[in-house]
Amino acid sequence: MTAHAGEDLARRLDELAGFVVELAAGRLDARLDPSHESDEIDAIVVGLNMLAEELQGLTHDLEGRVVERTRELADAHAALELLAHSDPLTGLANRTLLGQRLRQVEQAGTVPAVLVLDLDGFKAINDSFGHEVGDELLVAVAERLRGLVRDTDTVARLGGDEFAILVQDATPDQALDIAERIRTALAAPVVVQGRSCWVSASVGVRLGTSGGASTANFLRDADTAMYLAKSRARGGVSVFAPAMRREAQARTRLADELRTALATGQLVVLYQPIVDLETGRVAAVEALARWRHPERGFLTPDMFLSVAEDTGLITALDMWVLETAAAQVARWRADLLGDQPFSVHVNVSPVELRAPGFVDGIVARTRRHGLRPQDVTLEITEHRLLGEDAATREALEGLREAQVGVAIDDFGTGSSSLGYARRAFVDEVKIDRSLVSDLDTDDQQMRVTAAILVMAHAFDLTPIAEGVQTESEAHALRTLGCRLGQGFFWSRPVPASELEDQLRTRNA
Amino acid sequence: MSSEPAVGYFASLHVDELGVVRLVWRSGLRITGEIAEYAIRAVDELNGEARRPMLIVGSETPTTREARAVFGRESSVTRIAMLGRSVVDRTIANFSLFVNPPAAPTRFFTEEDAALSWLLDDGARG
Repeated sequence: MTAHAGEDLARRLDELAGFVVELAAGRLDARLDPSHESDEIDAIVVGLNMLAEELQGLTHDLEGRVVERTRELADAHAALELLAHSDPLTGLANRTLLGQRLRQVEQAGTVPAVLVLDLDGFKAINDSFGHEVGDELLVAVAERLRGLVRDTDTVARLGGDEFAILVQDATPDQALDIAERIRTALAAPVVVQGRSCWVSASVGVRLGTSGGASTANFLRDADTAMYLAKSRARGGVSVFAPAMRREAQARTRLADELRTALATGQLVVLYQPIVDLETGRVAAVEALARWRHPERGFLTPDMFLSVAEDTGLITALDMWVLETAAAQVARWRADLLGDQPFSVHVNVSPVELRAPGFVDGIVARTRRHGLRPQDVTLEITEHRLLGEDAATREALEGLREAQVGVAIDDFGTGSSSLGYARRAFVDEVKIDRSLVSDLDTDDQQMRVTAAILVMAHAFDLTPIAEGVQTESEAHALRTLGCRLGQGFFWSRPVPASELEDQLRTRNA
Repeated sequence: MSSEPAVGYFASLHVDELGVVRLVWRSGLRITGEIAEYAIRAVDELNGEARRPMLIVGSETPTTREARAVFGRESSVTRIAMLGRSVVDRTIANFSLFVNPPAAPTRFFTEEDAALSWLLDDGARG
């Protein structure tokens, strides 16, 4: 080897050593150009270059994958978080997140307000148009609600058609203003799949106090206020007051007691005659439930009916009344009435109409006591016969086919049942007492009642005047062509034994 | 046997009288992913419907990682013989063979006869 070649080799080895040091220091982007010798040193250089590149590539790939996996994990975490804290249908917060936000507000010491709202008429829309329309309606309502509040406030769906809004910091006026804006926002119909859906909301408001007071019961309190608003009128607003909690507790207690009452025979049926105004005969009786409460005495249905409806006890109650009355009328048929036309009127809730097997149940209960279906007339309160849903229509058709009579109660106080009346789903209408009182002395009252009677006759419905108190009112009704009446003029609701005397005298 | 003129990155690319694709890289080239794509496309076009073995001359031409990934894909080539003489050639070839193995069976040779003999062995033609 020449001296020059030796120096050259030493230089190349130096460069190689420097390159290895660079690589060892982690500089994977370092490269060394090989010579043109294509000798072992070049092989090492080329090999190291390629190894460094490979390592660099692998590191880059690995880092890329770590970044990707980290992002995927973060996305999955965010999705889980969203799932745990949001309502899948509307994307609003759920009850859990609302609870968390409430606690945050409490810690921040601001004055929050919680509004709970429940859509009126949602069930009818769901029943009539199907769940798909119902779901789209909920999404549309959610959008409107979101548009009413600040980003810092929380709109949540609590379930079904119940929503809540947490206003972070609000004066009572601001909270009530939001309640009002909710009503306005829902006043316009929601168009879903080409159908206009009209809903309103009953709103309960729980106003906060300053100083980070406990918010643990805010949601429950707003809910209590909302139920009160709902019980008053559709689309109402009610602000929570401590007395409401007591009232709610009282209702819960009453529901428990009613359950016991049904099981222990505290309920009784009274009968009020429906009298033929021409002949004075008792044409029918209305069976009315009364509760002999062990502490509170004799309770009329207005004191326990809404609790019965809220708790679902209404079905058991109404069916018990039907069975008891059917058994009684069967006895009267055997002992007093024979084959003469006579029917028993029993009240049912529109909610029950929509229950599956309702018609079959009525017919079976009637027959079990030896009565024919036409011996029974079901009374349904007009203002509660809302919505033209398929289940209600089907039940009314079924009752018609089975020859069970249907009467609209309190006729003239609502308007929605005219549709049913027109299409011959109904046999009788009971003209509300408010239209009968002072009929004989008030000309305007006379004209209104006359118009209602004309309308009833036009629909081929048999009118029954309710709340007749005097001979003069009965006479006026007779003059107007009303054939049947009911009221204190003839008899209060009385026990079966007392009515028997009247049946003997009047129907002899 | 048809023969194509050398284009672009190649000193030569043609099919010889034995039916072997001969690819001679231009000297001083560093084969990137893009050049590898170009080469594979050119070889596939040259082969048309046929599948042939290939002899690569100029194995001291270094390949990038991306290029090796491209050569790892299926093509119209049935076998690859890499022909080189120096220890540098072997180093580069080993990377191709073991770090990013090609889709077709590939071996390194220092003698052309041995390379052709292996390429034309049974099963080498498609």
